[in-house]
Order: sequence, then C-alpha cells, then structure tokens
Amino acid sequence: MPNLIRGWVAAVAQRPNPPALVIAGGRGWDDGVDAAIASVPTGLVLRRPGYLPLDQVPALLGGAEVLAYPSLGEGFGLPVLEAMACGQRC
Amino acid sequence: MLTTRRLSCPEVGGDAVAYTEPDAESIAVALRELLDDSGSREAGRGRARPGGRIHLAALRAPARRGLRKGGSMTALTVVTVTYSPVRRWPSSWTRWRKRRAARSTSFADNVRSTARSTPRAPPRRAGRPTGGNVGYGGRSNIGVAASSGEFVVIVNPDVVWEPGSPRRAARRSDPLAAGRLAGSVDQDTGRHGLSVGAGAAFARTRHRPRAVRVVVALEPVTASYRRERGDLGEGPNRLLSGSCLLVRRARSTPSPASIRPTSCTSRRRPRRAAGQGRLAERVRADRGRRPYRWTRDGRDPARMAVEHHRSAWIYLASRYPGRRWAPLRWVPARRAQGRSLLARRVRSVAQGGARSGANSPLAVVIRRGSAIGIVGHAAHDEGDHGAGDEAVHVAPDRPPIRLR
Repeated sequence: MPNLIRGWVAAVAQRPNPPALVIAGGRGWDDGVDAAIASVPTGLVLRRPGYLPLDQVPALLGGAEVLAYPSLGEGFGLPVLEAMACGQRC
Repeated sequence: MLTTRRLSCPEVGGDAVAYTEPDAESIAVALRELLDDSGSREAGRGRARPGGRIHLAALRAPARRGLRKGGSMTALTVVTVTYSPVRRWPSSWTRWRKRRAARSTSFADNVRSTARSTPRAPPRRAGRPTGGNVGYGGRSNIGVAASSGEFVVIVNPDVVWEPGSPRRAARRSDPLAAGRLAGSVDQDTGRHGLSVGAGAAFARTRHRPRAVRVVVALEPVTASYRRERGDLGEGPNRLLSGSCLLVRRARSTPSPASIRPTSCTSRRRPRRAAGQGRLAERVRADRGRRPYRWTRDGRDPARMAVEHHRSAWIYLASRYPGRRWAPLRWVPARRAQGRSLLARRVRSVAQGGARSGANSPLAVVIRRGSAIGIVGHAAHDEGDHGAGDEAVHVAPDRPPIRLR
C-alpha cells in the first residue's frame, strides 16, 4: 500500500487535474500507510472512507477511473474479478 | 484496472487488465500510461465486461431476503471456465454428462487461440469460445450471461463434483442460517489440522502490533498458513478459493448489479481473503496421477506450470528477503525457474510433470464425502428420491433443487 501511494503521487503530481486516490477498506493492514500518506503533497486528494458496505462497493469499483490492485499475493484475487464485473476499465 | 502478476491475479485478470510490479516506481509508470491512454482503458473495459449488464458482488441482505421469501431456485446451471482448446471440449462434455451434476453446462473457452469451429455440443451443453484471454471475470460473465436459471455454479473444469456433494453441503450449511449461500471450494483441512480459516488467522495477525505478531506467528493456524504459503507448491496447494462459486441471478435487482456470487462463507467478510469456503469438509487439492486425467483437459499444463513456478518464485523472493533466508529463497527458486523454462520450451516436460505430480498445474478433487459449498437455510431432502438423486430444498414451501 505505501508503494501504491508513492506511485500515485509520482504519477499524478504533475498532472493538471490529478485524480484522487481512494483507499477503501479497514485500517491496520499495513504499518507504513500512515507514513506514506503523511508524505502526500498538498494539492493531491487522498481519501480513506474505511470499510465500505458491499452494496457500495460496485459503485466504487465501477466508477473509478483506474482501479489499482498491486497485490503481493492473492489466493484468488476476487477483487479483480469483482471489479471486472463492475465494468472497471483496465 | 491495474494489478500484479502475482499468484492467481494473472489468471483472474487475463488480458483484460494491466500489470505492474509492486514497487512504487513501476506503479507510477503503469498509472501514467493508463491515465494517458483513455482508449486503452475503454478497450479494457469492453474486454472486462463482455457479458454486458452483469455485475459480480457478494451475496448480501437483499438476496438473503429473496431466499427467505422463496424463489425459483429449481435447478442449477454450471458454467465452466476453461483454458483448454475448443477441440478438447467434447471429452469434458462427456465427463459432465456422466456426472449428471447439473441441468445444463456451459463451457467457456478462455485461451488466446481462436477456434475456427465449435464442436457440436451435446444436448444442454454449450461451448462459447472467446478467441482471447479475457480473464476469469470476463469469461464468467459471458458464461453466466449465456446461461439460464436463477442459480449458476461457476466452476473450474478440474473440479470433480461427486454425487452426494450438494446434499452434504446443504447439511453442513445448516448452521449458517438466513439463506447464506456457499462459495468456493475449501482448503484442505487434513494436512495441518486447521480448524479455522487460515486467511482469518493471517488477517488477525496483521492487525496485531509487531511485537505481538512474533507470538501470534507461533500459534498453529498462523504457523500452518505460513508453512503453506512458504511451500514452493510441489505438494498440495490448498488455496482454492474461486474454484467453485455459486451465484444467484438477482433478476429483481436493477442493473448493473444483476449477478451476485458469494464471496465468502465465513461469518464475516474480512475473513474472506484466503479463508473462503468453509462449508466443504474434505476437499483435497491433489497433484497425484489420476486427477490429471481431468486437468490436462481443463488447463494447459505448460502454461500453468510456468505461471505456477513464476508466482511461487516471486512469492518467496518478496516474503523472505535478506541473506538469512537466501537458501530458502534461491534454492527452490532456481529449481522452479529451471522447470518453468523447460516446461515453456518442451511441452512433454509439463505434461510429464503433470503425470508424475512433480511439476503440474493445480487439480482439485472433491472426493466422495466431501462437498462443494451450496446452499442456505436449507432443509435438504433425505428420503424422497432414489439413491444418488440430488435434490436440495432451500425452504419447506419451495421446490427442491434437482441436480439430475
């Protein structure tokens, strides 16, 4: 997750209308997230809505400009399947 | 969509998603490319959703309420997502006909090769080649969209569905009241004696402070999980989530959320990461000899061998960094790399490995007495049908699901 945040910053910082990064899910999965968030420059929008009810997840997955799921290891990768089914763009 | 080529992600995403390495620089490069290329994103969107107005999400309260009220859950349709060439389908059709496991079966070819002709399908079987790898999600959508019936089982071709499995699944699902539908095939519970989902243990550990993790890591479940994930995969691999999904076609749900597969059978969603499918009791993932009679038809052995070893090597490299773990990391990794190279170049190596069980793709065997997770707050039918008949009641006032 910290790598995703840093990668997002590097990718969008110079763009005229930088897209926001929305990190969905409960906290506590990675100790480095807060430190990475603290390094996000002003002007970029990063939101952490926390745990989302499942009835809100399709809208989040389908409405995102890009869904990034840079997983280090997946037993199956169900979020990828769900996002594809929600019409997520590659 | 952007993901990594780790473990099962490439199989799920296929060519419909973009890939990156998990380091920050690679992610930045990949994000820039995606953001700058709207055409590619739109094209990917089309590949990801070829089935049209079908969405996948977890079964939630509306579906449960629907089950309580009664519905048209009278038969199951099976959608098999396969990577086998079209010419191999007839043998698969024959097997499913012998199994008589479901009312109809739809085979979905998900290989890159294009088929000039589709073999003639037996009654109530249908094959639908895509001519490209649209990933598991895209392929599932096509199969589900082309199928009929309210309830559909999306299953890998190497899952052997024994007679009696649905009934046993229903029996085991009794404690999970309120119409909860079962999901994927379970992990094996025999080797390490796991009693709870290993994924749950893993998640639980990660929530603890670092100092506590050392202690928690010694508990049997977490230790088993780590042993399992640390295994290069030459033995049984029990991370089988997704091998079998039961989905409900929620016709009353407004588009685009029209299909809702269950994503977990644990009691709480956070456990779903790797501890899915707790309903199945004795499902076994096997690399033995006999299962590959099934697997060779279901998957390309060379491709799966390469992907398997590649993912195992990546996992070891990231999981065990530093000099201390170098022997664990590099000795099996080199062995896996060598085999992957051979399997990629010499097809007989992969196939030979499959037969010997040493270098083979995953096969799932559900033995008699085991179960694919199925159903709800179900009373199941014990005596009204003949021996071997499969009929599962989901409610006393509703017709049973007949699988023959």
